[in-house]
Amino acid sequence: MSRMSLMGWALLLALAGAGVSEAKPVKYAGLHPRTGQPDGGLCHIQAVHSHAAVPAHAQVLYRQHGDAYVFIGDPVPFGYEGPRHPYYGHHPVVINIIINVEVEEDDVEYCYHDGPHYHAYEPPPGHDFDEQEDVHYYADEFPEAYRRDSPKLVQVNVLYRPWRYTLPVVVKPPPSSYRGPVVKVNVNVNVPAVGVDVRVQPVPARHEVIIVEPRERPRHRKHKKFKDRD
Amino acid sequence: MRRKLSCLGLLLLAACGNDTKDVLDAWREAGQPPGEFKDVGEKLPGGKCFAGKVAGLDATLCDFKQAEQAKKAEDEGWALVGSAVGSSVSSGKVLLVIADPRKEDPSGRRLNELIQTFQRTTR
Repeated sequence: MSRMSLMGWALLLALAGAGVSEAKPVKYAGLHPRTGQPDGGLCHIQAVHSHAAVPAHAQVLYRQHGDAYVFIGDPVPFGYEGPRHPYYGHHPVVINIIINVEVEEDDVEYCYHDGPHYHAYEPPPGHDFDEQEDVHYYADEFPEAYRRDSPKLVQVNVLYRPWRYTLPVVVKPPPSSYRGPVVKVNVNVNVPAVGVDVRVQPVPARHEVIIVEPRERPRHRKHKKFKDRD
Repeated sequence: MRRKLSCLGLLLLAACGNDTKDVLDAWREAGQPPGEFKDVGEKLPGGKCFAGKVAGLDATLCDFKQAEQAKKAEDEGWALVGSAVGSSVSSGKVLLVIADPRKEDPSGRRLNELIQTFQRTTR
């Protein structure tokens, strides 16, 4: 075999090796769904850890902190059995707090779950939340970054809609301090699974039928102005 | 006696670092008895490392002289984890590299408990 063909084989082997090594492990931090479907359950490793694949629904269920994916959604449909903290509507999430890492500046992201939902973490300190019926409501302004990402990240609600699981029961309308989207709540929590009349598409039994109604506020006009500037 | 047993596989009991011994003891006390941990030398550069199995998972514990060295070695620890589910985590002067190459802990509960016990012991 000539020297040239040997070199060719060596090059081919090197390229093949490079191809194999491209399957780079993916880092996660904190509890997260294993497959992205409820029956896949949860991975319970809290520390930064690695899996072979990127998460399912990464764009809406996760935020990135450094090179690690952090799950910020409602863990209950995936079989979560730990402490549940009930929330209503959109709110800030401080990523470094939920994964317990020290940083100079908080890494603030936003949860876009409409209506009642659970998280494994408490409301972050330093952010205003009001409590009503044992449910946390974010009680402060939403920044431009929240509005900018909203069209993409509200898709989390489309993902969760078909999943059957227990949600916090909310009877009263949100407190006036809450400025996120308001959903209508069917206060009769024993709604049967069959025969629920929903305007857009059939929704499996949940404790409420949700129709998002963003509150009209003067702030919205400001938002458009900012958007035009960009 | 318990502490000595944790390094039974080592002919030189003294070779097992104090922090490593404490972690192995803590795992045992937490109901996750480690198997034989063997001296694997400087498996991670600058560290005094011991490797074995605990709760069906592959673990390597390395003692470093300084916490910064242990932190810095995390990157090389990730290479040991490879494509398996696992973690490379330092706490104090000790680095734990733990992996589940045989997929024995799909929910990650065991792995999580072992890491948390390690962190509590070495903090």
